[in-house]
Amino acid sequence: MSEQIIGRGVENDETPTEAQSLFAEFVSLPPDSPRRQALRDELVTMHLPLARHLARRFNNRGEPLEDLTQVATVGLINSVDRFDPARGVEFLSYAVPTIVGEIKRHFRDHGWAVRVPRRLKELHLSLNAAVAELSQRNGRAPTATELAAYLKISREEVLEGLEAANAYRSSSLEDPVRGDESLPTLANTLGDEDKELEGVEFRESLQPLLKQIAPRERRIVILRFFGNMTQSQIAEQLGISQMHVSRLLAQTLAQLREKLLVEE
Amino acid sequence: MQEPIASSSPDIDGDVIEVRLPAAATHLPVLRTFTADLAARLDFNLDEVADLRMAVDEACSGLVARAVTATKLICSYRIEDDALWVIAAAQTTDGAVPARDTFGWRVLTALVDKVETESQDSRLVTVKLYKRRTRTVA
Repeated sequence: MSEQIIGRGVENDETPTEAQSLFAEFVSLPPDSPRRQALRDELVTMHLPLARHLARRFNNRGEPLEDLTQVATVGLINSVDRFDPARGVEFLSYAVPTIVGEIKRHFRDHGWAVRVPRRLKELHLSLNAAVAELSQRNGRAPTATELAAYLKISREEVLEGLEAANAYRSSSLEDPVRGDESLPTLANTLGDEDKELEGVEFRESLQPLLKQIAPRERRIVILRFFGNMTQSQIAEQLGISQMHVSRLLAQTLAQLREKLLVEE
Repeated sequence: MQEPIASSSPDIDGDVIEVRLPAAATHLPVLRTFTADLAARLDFNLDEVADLRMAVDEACSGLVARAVTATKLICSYRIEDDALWVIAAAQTTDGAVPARDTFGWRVLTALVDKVETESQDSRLVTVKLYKRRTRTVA
């Protein structure tokens, strides 16, 4: 869909920015021009910091930052392709809502296991942010009453939002480990984890089972059940949300249980 | 300053809520959700809510795996001033209580403050989970 708006003209007479000049040339070229392709690349690269910045605003909401950055970049590319300088608006005022829209759509499409009304999803996002903030402040996870007071909504709404949170699926156990591979402490911590497991004798052969689990999930299991850390503490150490830890832990337990039952 | 456990309904100390459902794994999600919602209503913090949800799941998964077919899993929630007892019972085929030297037991004891088990001659097995609530300053 490309409706042409011609002759609107740019009203201000300030000297055009680099981006403005690039865009002016970009739209003037035919689609198959190699110069156009080069300009497109340059415009995208030039605005990548913007995409990364917007992606970070949605970090710690259960989706890996890497994915969010990728989605934001797609939004940026779409913005570059669809932007029409003849409309007289700044590229940024067009690109920001487009990119944010793309990120939100990602949350809607990929984050939820079942269909949940938009209102609840937004409530879930604000709850997640509030949980992070209050956990930081109090050194422990908040209660429903505390969340209600903080968000200035009713306890009933908080409870409803928490319930919706359980329909939220951010990553499955089959996913490769993402997001935390670069943590410098991972290798060290894994060494410590093995120490934690020493001397724990189970009837089942747990060790080979644990080795089948992705490193991040294994680490969460060990920190929670052998390191006696709370989910909030684990969340802080891994740089993900408490709700995310909760989901990963529950999924991993279910998976382990299934395998242990098969063994039995 | 200590608040009663649920500020909206201060007189629920000592109340017992009982949930009965077919002793089959397919019904456990309902129990998980119920447990989490109840705990959140009682103002357990979210770590404790998640712990209780998983503990109930762990205990009841074990029970239903050993349950006699077409019997009920009975789960009672006893609300105390600053704690919650979850008492799950099922008619099992072997009357065996969860073994102490298993990963499952480790999970249970890490998630709640107290775990007790009981087996009757009738092979009714009961697992009792006790979880304290962290006091919050009002």
